[in-house]
Amino acid sequence: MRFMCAARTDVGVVRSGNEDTYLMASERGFFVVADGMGGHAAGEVASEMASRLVAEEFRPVRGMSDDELMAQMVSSIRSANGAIFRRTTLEEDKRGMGTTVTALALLPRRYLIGQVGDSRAYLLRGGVLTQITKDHSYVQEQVDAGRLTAVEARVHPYANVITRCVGSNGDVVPDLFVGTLEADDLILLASDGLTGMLDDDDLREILTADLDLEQMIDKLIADANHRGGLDNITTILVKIEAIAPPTGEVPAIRG
Amino acid sequence: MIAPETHSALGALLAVLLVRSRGVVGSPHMAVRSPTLRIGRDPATGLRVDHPSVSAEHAELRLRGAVWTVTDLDSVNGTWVDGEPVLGALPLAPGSEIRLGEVVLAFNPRDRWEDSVSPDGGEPSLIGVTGLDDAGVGTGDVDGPASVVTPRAHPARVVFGGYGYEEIPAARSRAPAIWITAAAVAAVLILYFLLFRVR
Repeated sequence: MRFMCAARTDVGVVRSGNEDTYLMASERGFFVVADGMGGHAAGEVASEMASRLVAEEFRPVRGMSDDELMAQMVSSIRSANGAIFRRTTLEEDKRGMGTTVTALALLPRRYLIGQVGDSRAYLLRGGVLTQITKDHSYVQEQVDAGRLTAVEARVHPYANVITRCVGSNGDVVPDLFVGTLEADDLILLASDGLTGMLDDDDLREILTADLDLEQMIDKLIADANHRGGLDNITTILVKIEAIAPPTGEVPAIRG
Repeated sequence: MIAPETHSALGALLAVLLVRSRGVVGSPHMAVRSPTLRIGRDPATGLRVDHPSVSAEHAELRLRGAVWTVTDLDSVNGTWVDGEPVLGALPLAPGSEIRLGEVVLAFNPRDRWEDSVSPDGGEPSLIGVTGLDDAGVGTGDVDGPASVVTPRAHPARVVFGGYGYEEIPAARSRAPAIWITAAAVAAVLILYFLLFRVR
């Protein structure tokens, strides 16, 4: 599989520090966006620990079954949760810290995403933008229960409250999302500093424009800042250029 | 996947406060169902703690992002977290002890997955499952009945993208193995006949 990727994080307009962390391990197709929370720069610590530990733990080996890959994604997020949680109990100024995690692994012709919190993954295919992940947030639950509309949820006073978090409890259970990839697919990973400022139509407009990846990211961040930049803005874009042909096993004969 | 009682009209359960002190009227378990909530002796507060050392509006609990904080509302007898006086918004850890005047409460936040996973560690909810197997091997029953995928560590929810799963014909993906086997058999036969002739 061939792909291009680009990432950037921006402090936004309102916040003084950046608590987001992104990680791109492009040599093995692994990407993480983490949005940390907690006072005294604890949020930065939580998001940095989460993205580093998840990437260290998730080490797929050729020939692993999907069950094993999914179990490894779950266990890598859970072990990062354990490490962060231990620090919250040992260090006074890290009390209450936690982070979201959205981790994307590119597998042969598929993607695997592990999700905790309200950072998001989107897929743009054929000009249609689809949100792959589902937020673990208070307002998302209210929307699911039919008490809020999606539009009301965006401006709700509790829009920033998340109901599942890496590091704030002894254990966590991530959601997993699996799907196929095609050539020309574009995957967006973003913290809520982007998706809270720009709605899906805004995102689609920028992602379908005739720009390269860096220009798209610059425009996404500039527009989010223009709308208020209320939170740190982090974006990763992954463009799938070519998928390994289904007869990918053929080279094994030559070698 | 979320138990119905946690989605009552009051909202989902976000945290539980356990009353550790004696002499407090009311239930020892207090449910926190709102991301912002006042605690005090006044029945109009979200969480009523009926004790003489507790002010009418004593403290405020607030959830921002995933971080719970407590703020003292200029109470007469003060608020402490794990022995530390509350000045401004102090973050709470799971299991933190909040002291309002003389009343000690234990703070226990809930992560929503705790409600979604059955206590006996049963099957996770699987949404839209289609056959999923190692792509290199191919799978024969993609359109068959939904196979239940049971990862070793249970995720709360597994969603397979609604884009269909690409089926790789088993014959094609197994072609290398067949050719290698065929070549090996042929080589053995040729060697056998060569040796036989030499004799």
